[in-house]
Amino acid sequence: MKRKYINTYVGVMKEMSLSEEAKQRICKNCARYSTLHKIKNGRYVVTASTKEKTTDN
Amino acid sequence: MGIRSEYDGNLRHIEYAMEKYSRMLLRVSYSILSNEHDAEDAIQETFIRYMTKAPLFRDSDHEKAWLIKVVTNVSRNMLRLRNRQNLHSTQELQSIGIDEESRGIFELIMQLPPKYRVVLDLYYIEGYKAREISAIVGISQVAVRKRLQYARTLLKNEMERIGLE
Repeated sequence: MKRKYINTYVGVMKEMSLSEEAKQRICKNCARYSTLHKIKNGRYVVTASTKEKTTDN
Repeated sequence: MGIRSEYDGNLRHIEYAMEKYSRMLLRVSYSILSNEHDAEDAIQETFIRYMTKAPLFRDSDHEKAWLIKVVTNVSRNMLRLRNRQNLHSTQELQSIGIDEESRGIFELIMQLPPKYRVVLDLYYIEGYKAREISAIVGISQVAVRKRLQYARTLLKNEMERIGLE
């Protein structure tokens, strides 16, 4: 008897999803943060690169 | 490996995990926080921990259980710190995929206490057994069964009260 209420509950809750925009935002933030975190912990060495001179300079 | 390629690698990894687990994490987090933006923050924090702690998982079930545990803890901590009234606007509900037709039932579900919503979700949607839920949520198996029983009764009574079939 209670099963139909549970089915209604499951049906509604399964509709929930994050918007594509929110997903992209979270992915970018997480990727940026985790990359910076690894750099900060010394896992990667940041090497300075010299800027190429252009004819204007 | 350069920073750029590391960033791209991390982004791909997160996108894959996001595709696989975002619905589940949103349901669990929203069940506790009842707010879209807070739920998004909780999911972001969960994925940051996932990337920075980089735990070794035995299999995908272990990975899924770890994510549920972390998002539950993060959401509970956020709930403790905030004192915000939850109003579900039509726009907010649409942005999390709830259409106008389901709004009444969704509002009713959100009136159930969070501790009941979480066990209902893990049991009926994620398909976990009471023993597994007890380990994830950190309560006894008896408590899980009691919460399920009470949640079912609450749901039935509330749906009958507002005349939903």
